Amino acid sequence: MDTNKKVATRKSYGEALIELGKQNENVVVLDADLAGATKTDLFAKEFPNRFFDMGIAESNMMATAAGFATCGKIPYASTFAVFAAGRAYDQIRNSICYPNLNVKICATHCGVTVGEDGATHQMLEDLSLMRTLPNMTVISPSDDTQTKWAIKEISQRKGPVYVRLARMETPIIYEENTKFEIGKGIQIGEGTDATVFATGVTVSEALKAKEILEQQGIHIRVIDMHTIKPIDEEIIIKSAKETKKLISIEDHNIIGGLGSAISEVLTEKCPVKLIRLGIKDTFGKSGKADELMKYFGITAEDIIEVINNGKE
Amino acid sequence: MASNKYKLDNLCVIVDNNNLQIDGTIEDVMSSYPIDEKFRSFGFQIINIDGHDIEEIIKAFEVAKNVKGKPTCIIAKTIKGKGISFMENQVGWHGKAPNEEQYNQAIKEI
Repeated sequence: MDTNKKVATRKSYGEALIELGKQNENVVVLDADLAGATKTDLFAKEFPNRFFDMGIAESNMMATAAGFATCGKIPYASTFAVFAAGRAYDQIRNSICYPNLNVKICATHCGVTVGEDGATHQMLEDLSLMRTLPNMTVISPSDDTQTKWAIKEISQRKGPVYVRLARMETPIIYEENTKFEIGKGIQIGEGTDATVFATGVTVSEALKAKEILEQQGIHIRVIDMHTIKPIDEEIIIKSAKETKKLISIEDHNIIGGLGSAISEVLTEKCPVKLIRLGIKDTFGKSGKADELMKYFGITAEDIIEVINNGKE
Repeated sequence: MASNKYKLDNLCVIVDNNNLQIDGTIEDVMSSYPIDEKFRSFGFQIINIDGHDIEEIIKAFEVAKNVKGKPTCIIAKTIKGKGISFMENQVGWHGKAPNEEQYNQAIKEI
């Protein structure tokens, strides 16, 4: 993990779109008056004829994206997560998922790490809303490399996909061009004292915790759950059997997100205890992203606390 | 907004206006009138017709086809349940299926 070079996954998204646009002329991009913030403006400059700013009308943006998909285009529709998964939920459900259309929803500004914009703009329930929709694939990448892979990879995957992207800059975890697979978590380390399942911005926190704990003689493994749906059952069951403690950590409500998805697998296939770190069924707050992560208990220190002191 | 911005002259919206909502008349529930002025302000070419008059419908489509640079909205004034005495202009028949007796009666009337 390169902690010196930090990149926000929304920026990785914007850059990946340009590459994808060059490779695939069927790719079109839609935004809802937030192109500068979601970074789709990079694509817009390069391919003005394939970029559509739909204004502050997210429901119509999703319906238009659905229309593009019926004409053989591969639409990437972007706005903040709270407006995509929240405001336009009905169109995502009935106009995209029900007819199983090839629309890629790439939502930025998820979680409390949005920072100063505060609770109204911090989406904490999008994983929950999106993963409950039939036909939907849900991806939550953890760094620059993984985001660039995901954006390209989903263009080859038929059907609706939701990608959860962050505003906050996070360390680069993976080397350039690392290969991933949708639906397959990444195991980092072989430790058996605990498993930490993380996703998005919390993966680098989990890796930080792993390093600190190693110096204390405690060996954990981190699983980067970049795909929330379909969830990697195999890796969950394997870790449940091989490690003493299971923890999940996410910048999302503990209801309905990564922790819930893992719990669903565990209760049916391998019933053991899972400690869920995340936003505890409350709205976010305005503040600096790193301060908010501390306030809501989703940092490396919180993981260490749970492992060392059993605090939950 | 979007269809006007992108000058979608191949788009024709048809509003089937029977003056009824589910809980009551449009005026009683929540008025969306005037419908034509609303669409016009969004940049649509407006055509008001009698939705039960086939000739008017065909004529409106012809006009819509030839409108350039903007979308068209045909507002078709209709009567819900037209031709069936006990259904005509009745609020209660939005999402209800007739029973056997009502069905036979309706078929007889149309």
